[in-house]
Amino acid sequence: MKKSLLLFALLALALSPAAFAASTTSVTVAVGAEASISVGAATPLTEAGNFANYTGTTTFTYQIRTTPSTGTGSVSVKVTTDFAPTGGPSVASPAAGDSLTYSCTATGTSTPTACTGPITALTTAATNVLNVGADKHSTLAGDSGTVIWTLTNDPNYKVGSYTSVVTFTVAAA
Amino acid sequence: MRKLLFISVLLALVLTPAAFSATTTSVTLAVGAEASITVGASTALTGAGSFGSYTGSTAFTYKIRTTPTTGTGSVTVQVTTDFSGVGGPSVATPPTAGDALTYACVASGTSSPTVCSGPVTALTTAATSVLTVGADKHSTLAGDTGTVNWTLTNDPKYKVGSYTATVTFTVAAA
Repeated sequence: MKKSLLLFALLALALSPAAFAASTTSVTVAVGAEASISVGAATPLTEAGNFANYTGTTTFTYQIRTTPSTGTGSVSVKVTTDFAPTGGPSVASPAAGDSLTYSCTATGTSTPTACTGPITALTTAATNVLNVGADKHSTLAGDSGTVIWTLTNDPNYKVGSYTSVVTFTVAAA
Repeated sequence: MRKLLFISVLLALVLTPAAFSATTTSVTLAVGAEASITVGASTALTGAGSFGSYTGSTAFTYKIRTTPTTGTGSVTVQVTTDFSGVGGPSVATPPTAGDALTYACVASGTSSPTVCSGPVTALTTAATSVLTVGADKHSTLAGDTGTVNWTLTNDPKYKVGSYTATVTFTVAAA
């Protein structure tokens, strides 16, 4: 009797089908307008002598995605810390005829429209470097551009070294 | 359930703000002692008659920036090519003792120049001073100005003709 019961149990287990279960979930992502920018740590301005203006180039890389139809994007610059120490050039309060100006180049799949310089850089407001339109997209590595600086070489500047800080801002909507 | 998910996705997109990103870079420059000078292409010397000396003026504009404390600056002239032609005036070998090309100087500007006290005899063998400036001096952006007033002996011995010399103006700053 005990032997028959064991045999029956083993048979029942052997005939049971394998058990499976399944369920689903959604993976969603909200992709919005977005932008980022990177720029080199420092840009030296140099001159060719004989009171030629100081010039230098800042290269930047930006990633951008703008909204279809209504979107826009831009890169702008602002001198957030004026030249220091005193006695040298100044963006905020230059001597008559002095200025820090720039022109722009930019290229990439976001089809940027670069500024047509010379544009005078300011400490009081951001000024335009480039614009992109609606539904524009840089490459994954980023699109690139340059800001080409020109600073008046005023004899009135004291001999010395001067540094200012320029903030590059990219915006996308 | 699907409708709710759709609405939530739409809401998330609508609430996505405009995106900004900013980074900074330093713009640096080293300002050194520096100088430049411009001068007119030619200066005509004219005589007043009756063997009065030939005279003429050369105007020049200079930009200068000198180093604080130890800096100096100067403008000099040198006759780098003597009067051409035979029988005329000569700076290197005047035909008569006492013949000379001399000059006096005028200058003004924010660099506070100290001008030469003429008459100074111009030379082919060395540069001679027109003006000097001290330490930490700065011309205007347009440049400070000066004048060299030339006087050349009107020696009857000079042959009739036209004669040209080249004078080099040099500005230096340290």
